[in-house]
Amino acid sequence: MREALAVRVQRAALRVLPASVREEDGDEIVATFAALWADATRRRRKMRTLLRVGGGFVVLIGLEWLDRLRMGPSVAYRRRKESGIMDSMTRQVGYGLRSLRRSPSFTLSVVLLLGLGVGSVTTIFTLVDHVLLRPLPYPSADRLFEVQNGSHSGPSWEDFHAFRSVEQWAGVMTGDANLTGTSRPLRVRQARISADFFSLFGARPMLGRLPVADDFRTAGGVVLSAGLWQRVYGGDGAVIGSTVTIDGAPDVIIGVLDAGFMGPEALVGSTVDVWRPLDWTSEELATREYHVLSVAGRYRRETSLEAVAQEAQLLAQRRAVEFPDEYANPDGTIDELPIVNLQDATVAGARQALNLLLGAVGLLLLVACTNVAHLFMARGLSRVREMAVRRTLGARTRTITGQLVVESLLIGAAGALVGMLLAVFGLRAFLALSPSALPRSDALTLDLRILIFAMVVAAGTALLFGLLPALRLAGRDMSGVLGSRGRGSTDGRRAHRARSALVVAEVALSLVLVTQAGSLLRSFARLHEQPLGFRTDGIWTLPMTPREIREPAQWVNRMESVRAALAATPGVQLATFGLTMPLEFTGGGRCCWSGNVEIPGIDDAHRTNFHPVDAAYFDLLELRFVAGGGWARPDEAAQPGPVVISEPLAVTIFGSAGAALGRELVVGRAERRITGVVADNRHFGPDRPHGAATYLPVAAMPFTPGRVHMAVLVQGASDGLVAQLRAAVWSVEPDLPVPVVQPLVDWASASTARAKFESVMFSTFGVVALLLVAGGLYGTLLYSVGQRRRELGIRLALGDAPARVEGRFVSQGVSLAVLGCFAGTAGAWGFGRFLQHRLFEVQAGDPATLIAGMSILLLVALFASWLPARRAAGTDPMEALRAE
Amino acid sequence: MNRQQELPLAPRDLLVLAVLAEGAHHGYAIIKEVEERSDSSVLLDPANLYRVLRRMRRDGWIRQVEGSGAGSRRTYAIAARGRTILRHEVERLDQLLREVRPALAGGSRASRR
Repeated sequence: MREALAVRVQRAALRVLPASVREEDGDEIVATFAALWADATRRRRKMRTLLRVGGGFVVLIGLEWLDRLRMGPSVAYRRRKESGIMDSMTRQVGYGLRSLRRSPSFTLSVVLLLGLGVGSVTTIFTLVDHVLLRPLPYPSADRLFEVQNGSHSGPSWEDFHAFRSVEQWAGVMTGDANLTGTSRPLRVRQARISADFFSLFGARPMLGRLPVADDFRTAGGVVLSAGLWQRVYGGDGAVIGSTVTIDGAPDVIIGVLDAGFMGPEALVGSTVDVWRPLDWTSEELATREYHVLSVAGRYRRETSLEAVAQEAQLLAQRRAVEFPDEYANPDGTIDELPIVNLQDATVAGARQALNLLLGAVGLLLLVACTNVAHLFMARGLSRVREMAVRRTLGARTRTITGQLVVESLLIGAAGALVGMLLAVFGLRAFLALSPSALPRSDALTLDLRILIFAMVVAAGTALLFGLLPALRLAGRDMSGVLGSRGRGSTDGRRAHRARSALVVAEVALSLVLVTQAGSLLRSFARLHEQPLGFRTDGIWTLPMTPREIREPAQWVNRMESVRAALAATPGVQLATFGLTMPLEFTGGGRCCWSGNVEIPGIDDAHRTNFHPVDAAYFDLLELRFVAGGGWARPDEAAQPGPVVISEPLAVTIFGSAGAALGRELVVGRAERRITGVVADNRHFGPDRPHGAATYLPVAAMPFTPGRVHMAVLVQGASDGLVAQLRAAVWSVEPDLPVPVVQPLVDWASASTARAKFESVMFSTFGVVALLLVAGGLYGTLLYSVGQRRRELGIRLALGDAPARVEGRFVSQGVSLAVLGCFAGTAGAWGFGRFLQHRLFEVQAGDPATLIAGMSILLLVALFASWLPARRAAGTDPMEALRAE
Repeated sequence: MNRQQELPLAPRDLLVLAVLAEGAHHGYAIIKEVEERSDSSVLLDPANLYRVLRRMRRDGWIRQVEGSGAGSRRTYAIAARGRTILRHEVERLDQLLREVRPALAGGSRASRR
């Protein structure tokens, strides 16, 4: 027969005991427990048995291990005659545990508070440590650097090799590529690398080999990432030597990279699927005009980053003289070559966001610590009497202090434990919620150093405040303390003031957090409500990368046939395409074609973004025309060709939208007639107006772009829609990858995801801070009510109205909160500055948010004070006096 | 034996010794007996009980009477030394009670039954 679950759990739990104990008594313990369990027939009885056994067991773990530590493994038990340091420690710990168990609500609240503070700080600190501080996983990573200021040309790459302080260079060119010849056409990330790249970053093959000199001469040979090899080839070893087609050209697979290898994110982004040698004969690497290479290097051991920077500066100056067209700017400045440590280059983007979060959780920890300080002070003061008794009975101050240290450490350890648990969940939640992939967030785990960090924070806080009663006790006349008979006179005015100051500090810190949360929430709400200027619902989009088409006319024809195939799909009402779709490039990114337009005959160029679009683009996205309209497909070939401009551009050039209608513009070398003016929209994200935009037929592109973005308007999306749309594309372009089919509303929510994430994070912090403030105020006042019970009893007995007693306590609490709000205003303004650039149309720490934050805090304070005040008013005079 | 070092006994130890003084018992019976005798105020759990029993056995207060092999239940009985300690403790408690009872009698007469 199978054992009951509880019995099996008990047996498993024995594993945490020292082995000697387990061997000696393990079976007996389980057998006895099984008998007890069988005995407890009713559910309630079972529960009680479980509680008893479970509670006892937790204490036992500590005791058994202490014994084991004290006695060593072989002699698990000896007579208790040693009174060594460990022995007194054991006694102290035992006493401490009992003492804490006597005041469970105190212990529980402190542990939870510490856990909360430590947990949140540990979570964010783990991220900071992992992302910002941990060294990069490459050989001699501290000597790696990146040459910044964008990418570099082939000739620049040659120039770099003259640097004497650098021992090895790596150049890489990254981009999308289409992989065909497998079951489905796939879009992959491709990196074309220089000969020393893999050696510089310490890459090893898991299968096959890495490219050698011959491969670089012929620019042939493909190395797959372990991920792609698994995903596409199912981890098949026979793939080495087989042929794969990349962007229409066949190449041979020579190796698979080790699964542990991560490409340098600063150079290649987060994931690369295929690695190939650079083709040095290609046109784009031959001239100084094309800046295509990301470049990193490792300096010699005997030199420094500064030495590299000096050489780079000399090169920058020299080439600005030699090639002024390329490297000297009209304003007299030159193109610099900043040398940045590769680690700094990798995490530059994440640093600010993480530091902001670290600041916020730091504030939260401060609030939590303030509360812990509160609880310790309240308890410490009430224990002054206990301590005094013990001292009078002969306990040495050292013993008592030691006792307090042990208790504080016990609480600190428990707090750290809770904090670690919270951190584990917090980390998971953070990574799940975080919209943008953090650099280096792979394999993020809590490690020993973080554990120590959390322990130190928790124990430090607990120690600092746990020792307060001992400090107060030092050099005191005991008879005074004892003589007071616990009437509260120990809680002097100074202590009262200290407690009030803590509450004020707490409110001030919370105000900072609450206003930050308020600003971010308002910013997110604004962002969310911002009209985009185009339709999003019912529209699905397919961004794609056609690569092997060379002729512009052919590109237009083939994309038009894809559009037609999509339009013919059941359920699709309308299909269109363009170089890009709205919200494809957000967060400051702009793509892909910009240039100047002019009025014929006037040499006055206006900068604009060009949007080559299909004729149905305006109808499908429902762009609002301020004047005129779009064009029909047959009109695209007319002379002059049609063009639509945005209202801001029309106003800049012609003064008004109406004035622009019918006028001619020079785009490139061709003249075009303006058929319509559309209202400004949020093509590049809800947080930024588009501004000057020019829409023209796709056939007007003088080049073949490596990308296209199809969009369809769908009536009631069905389950098979995505597969149908993909099939429609492949019916005419079988080798064109369709990486995603995504509703435009998803693009829209992705564009506000960061703002949403940040406001959720900060709101959580804000709410927690509010709870802590409420707890702090409540505790303080409740304590004060308890201390003044006798006084209140006398007052009430003498006829003081309960309502007035109540009022006095409430006003005491609220006035502390008001003081805190004033103190916090400065902090809220100060901190707001760090936040400003993340806000959309909201001023950080603006009066409205500040006042709202204050109101919430004061309401919370009112409620938190009212509860103890009611208790004060409800004091029974007789009872209060009899208690003496 | 130095009496000062062993006494006073923790209530739990006292009860366990008292139970074993009346006869040999195995773990489960000890728990039940102690529970009953203390009006459920001392509730032992198996792991802690065996910790106590282990210490008492090492110190020679009790002995194991049967079932040392794996699987068979062990039974414990009080040893001479345990009996001595129990007697000393009971005497000590008696003495103590004699000393403090008058105080109670004089102090709060109202609360006396």
